[in-house]
Amino acid sequence: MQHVMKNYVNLTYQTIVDTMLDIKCCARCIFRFLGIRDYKCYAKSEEVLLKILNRIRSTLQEDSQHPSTNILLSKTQDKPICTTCFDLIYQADTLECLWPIIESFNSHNFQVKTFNLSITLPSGIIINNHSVKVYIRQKFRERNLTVDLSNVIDLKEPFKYLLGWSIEKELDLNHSFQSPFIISIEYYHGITQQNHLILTRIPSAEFKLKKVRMKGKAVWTGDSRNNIIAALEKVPDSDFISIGNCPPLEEKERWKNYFPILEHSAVYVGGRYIKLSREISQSPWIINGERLAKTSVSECSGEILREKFRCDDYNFVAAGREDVNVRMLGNGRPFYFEIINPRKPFLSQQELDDAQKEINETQKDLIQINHLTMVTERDLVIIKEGEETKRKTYSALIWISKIVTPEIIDKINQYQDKELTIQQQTPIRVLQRRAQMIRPKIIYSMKAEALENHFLTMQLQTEAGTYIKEFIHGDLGRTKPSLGDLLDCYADILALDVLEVDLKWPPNNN
Amino acid sequence: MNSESLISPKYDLSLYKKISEKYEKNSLAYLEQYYTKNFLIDSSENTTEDFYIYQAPNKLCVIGLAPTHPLLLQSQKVKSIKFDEKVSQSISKKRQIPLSAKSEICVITTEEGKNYSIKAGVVGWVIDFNIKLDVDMLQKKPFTDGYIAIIKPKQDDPRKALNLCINEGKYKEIRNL
Repeated sequence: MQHVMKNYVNLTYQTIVDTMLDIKCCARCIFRFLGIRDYKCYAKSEEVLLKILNRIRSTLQEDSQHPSTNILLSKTQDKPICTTCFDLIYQADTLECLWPIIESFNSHNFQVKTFNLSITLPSGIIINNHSVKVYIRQKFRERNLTVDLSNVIDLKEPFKYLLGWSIEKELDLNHSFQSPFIISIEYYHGITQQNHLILTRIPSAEFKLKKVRMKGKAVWTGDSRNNIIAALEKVPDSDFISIGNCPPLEEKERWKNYFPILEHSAVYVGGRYIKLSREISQSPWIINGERLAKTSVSECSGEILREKFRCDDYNFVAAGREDVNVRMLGNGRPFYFEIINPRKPFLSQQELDDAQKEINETQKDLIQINHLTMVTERDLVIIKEGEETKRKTYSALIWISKIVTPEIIDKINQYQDKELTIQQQTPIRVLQRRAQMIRPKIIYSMKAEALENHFLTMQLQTEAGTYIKEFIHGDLGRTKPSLGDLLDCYADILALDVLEVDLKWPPNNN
Repeated sequence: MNSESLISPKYDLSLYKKISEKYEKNSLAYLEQYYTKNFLIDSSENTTEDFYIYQAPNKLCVIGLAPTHPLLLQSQKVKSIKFDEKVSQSISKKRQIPLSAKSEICVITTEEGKNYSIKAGVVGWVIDFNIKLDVDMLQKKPFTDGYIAIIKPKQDDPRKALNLCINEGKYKEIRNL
């Protein structure tokens, strides 16, 4: 406090303190107007702060205490409401301010160590703070003095610090600007909410509101906080005094707040899934409100993860997809879940293993997941890349119109170590959504085994994006050559399974 | 499932027996897995210029010559297949007026100079012609590689889109097949 005393005792500061005490601003707001950036000072009690302010002003004047002091220290209804903060900063470290946040935090039971604050202040604050500045300049002019008020500190900054410190104390958390957990709270003050409309009556403000229709309702726009501030800068003090209230009118009501919004940014959990059923889809398959597959890989795992992370929602993303009637076998297909607003944002590997076990036990015949682990946002590109670039291995059950002979098997197996390039026109099956194009695709390897009569199985390794079903039956000649072409007969695929998606995932899995 | 069957799955062929029997009777039966077959019957009494229209689950329609079309019944030599130029140019252009079912999309001319007109058959847009179609394929593999065009119907409801068509049973009945 010593440096405050030393640096702030001069005529300019004394005049500011006097003027603001005259109109009964709270001590913290006066500190702001003095440009005091050491916010630790603000945490002192109103009594201590007023003592300091009285000392600043009294070194030159006889009366030791400003007449407003006692009423400002009153704990009753008599205490006037500060017109530059509606008592927000005055109460920043009290239960009044803290309670809505604590209540919401506890009801959601967030398991976090840090938080960040996002504060929206009542718009009436802007006009009132400007009005007090104008009023102070007027007082200086009356005494033939000038004053530079560019160092006045915005209400938001010290308020945020004070509120932050008391949340830290109360909830045992660290206030960190990098925290993924954000407490957003918007304050309002009904009576002054429309005060900025006086700007429309001051021509020098060039403040214009626009009426636009949004969802059938007429809404005024153009009164954003930035627009109000920019307009005020254009207004000469004399114009403001003649139309606005200077100093601001006394307030009868304090600030109020909307319900705070507590939100943790998304976290990601990755793994690989095996789909054992030919009846479930990868993500919910619903067309025109009708469910076409009873459940999905996304729902089977996501609903259990929703409970574990206690999240609002989740998004499922996988490295490519298979058709509903195709199984995903082998070591599974890489995927991740984006977990939206988790109350419990981190699960230990043990907890993840347990969740995995639970998923696998409840959905034994449908899906199995493995390697479930937390992944970072940076890792996610690997999945996208895997979808577009990685080789896939398939197993297929095939029917051909000839009886399968060793010669036929040999004919296929000559491609076991020999690449085959095919030309695929966009399959008719997807032509309604994918543009017509001819795409060359490489089949890296093919290996067949005879079953009985017309049946054989094949293992194929192909370039990403190859349409396997079309390669087998030829898609009315749109894929050339097709298996049918190679064997000079008709061929159809009766069952298809994906055996491998050649992608290292999750990244930290050894 | 054990780990062995995850790497090299076994298939229970008894599940596919019915399908195999059907396929053995008719090599083209596999098309039924992918399309519902519809037929467009020649409206004049003296000719049988019939077409098939296969509809895929995504509603796209494939049009080609039905077995009773004169080009397949008689050994006529085809000289040329000409896709309608205007229709060709409209492919992949957005906001086109749909073709009517009677719009001509292709003309096939025989060596003798006889012209066969191919109509759209459904109200909609040609989204692809069979660019690989040649004289040989048209008559040798009319039901697969020899299709003529792919049409996207304007109507989503198959009953409305294919209101001029009849099913395979009815077609066979009418043509005594």
